[in-house]
Amino acid sequence: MNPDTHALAGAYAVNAVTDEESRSFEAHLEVCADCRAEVTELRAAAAALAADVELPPPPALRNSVLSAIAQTRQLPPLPVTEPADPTAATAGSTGSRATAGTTDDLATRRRPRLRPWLAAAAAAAVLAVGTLIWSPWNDGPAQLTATEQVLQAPDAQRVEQPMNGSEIAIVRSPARGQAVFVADAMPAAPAGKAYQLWLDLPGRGLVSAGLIPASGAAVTVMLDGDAAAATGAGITLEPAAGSEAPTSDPVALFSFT
Amino acid sequence: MVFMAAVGPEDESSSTAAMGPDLGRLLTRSARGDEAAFAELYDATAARLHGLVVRVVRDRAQSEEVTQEAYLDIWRHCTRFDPSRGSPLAWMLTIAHRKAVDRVRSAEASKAREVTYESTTIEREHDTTLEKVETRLDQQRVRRALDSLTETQRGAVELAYLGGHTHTEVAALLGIPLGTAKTRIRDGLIRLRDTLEVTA
Repeated sequence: MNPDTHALAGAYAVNAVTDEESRSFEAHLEVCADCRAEVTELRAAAAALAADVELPPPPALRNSVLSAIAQTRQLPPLPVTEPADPTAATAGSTGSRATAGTTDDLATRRRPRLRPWLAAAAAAAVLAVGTLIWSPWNDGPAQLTATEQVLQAPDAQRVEQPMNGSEIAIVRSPARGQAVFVADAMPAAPAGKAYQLWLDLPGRGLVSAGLIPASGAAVTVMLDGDAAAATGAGITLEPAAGSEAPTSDPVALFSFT
Repeated sequence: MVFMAAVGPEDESSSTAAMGPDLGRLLTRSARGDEAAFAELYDATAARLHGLVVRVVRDRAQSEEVTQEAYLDIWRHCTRFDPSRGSPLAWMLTIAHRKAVDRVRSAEASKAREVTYESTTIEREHDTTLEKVETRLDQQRVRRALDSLTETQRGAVELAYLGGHTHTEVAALLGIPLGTAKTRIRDGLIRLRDTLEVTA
């Protein structure tokens, strides 16, 4: 084993790695039981540090959390508990569009979206999420960020667009009701401006889904709002603080239907 | 039956020794949609999670959002909690930490933050916080364990975990080579683990 790779276990355990390092280390974890055990132990050790920084949240947060969970459906338990099932490792990455959209139980509990989705392929390049790692030991939320969970969702749909010579995409998981914007090299917005994301919601029109962090680099950002209900998404250039409604023509449009 | 598999043994993690309620049982009940159990879970852990989030995020309003997001995630995912991957509290803290780190990194992507090594600030806040909270057995253990780290290990671990920095940033902040930062973080955590006798 490359000792450099192994040395990353500590930094990985405390989220002190970039997304890229995280993905590459997770590939290593799939084949290294020692590192898996070490990460779990080091996470537990790091968690102990939180004992020293306790701070009760404001009382209002409790009600806010409890009313939010009352309206939030829980995920179904994982059907397989074997942590090292090799077939699970490829289920998410090798599935064709058809299998990704129709065979997964998460997807079938939702409205089928394959047909309208394919219809949109003429307007936008639509690709299956084929390159993401679906690490079998690592499919729990403890190891995945919210955006990774969408990117790796079994029903993830990816709609790509070119933008200024680079590639931008929205990956949407209807089952999770979430969508993530990803860009390899997001162009920086002009001074005083920001790129703003919008979801097209039936009956409501374009609703702000948040700002894209200014960058000349890779960007991964979760869209606010109900991505399951959305029929599309768009990006406009807005004043840096964002706008209530789009004030300029879209620089990119993504059709989900 | 997966739910049964998720029924953890009594939580023996040292970090939860003083936490009172059986978090594993509360998580299991929460996984069955029991909101009252989740409220108990919240009451037992909110100060721990929120303290960590505030430590990383700093901004109070944003921290509250992040803490709420973390609990929502815990609610949604407690159906998939796997005790073989750590204690309930460690699992919950990992989620909260990840949320906090995501928040500061996405904010930093938009405006490069001026970074300085705030060791004096860290110590001061650390002490203020400790004055406020009831002294607990596990806090004493944690402080003893932290004292067992070399100063350089401790600095690296605190910047990474409590500061929410990447190992690359830790290296820059401490003016040490990349590989050294990685090693210090790992060695520091290993020493913490061994001193605390944390079992995953």
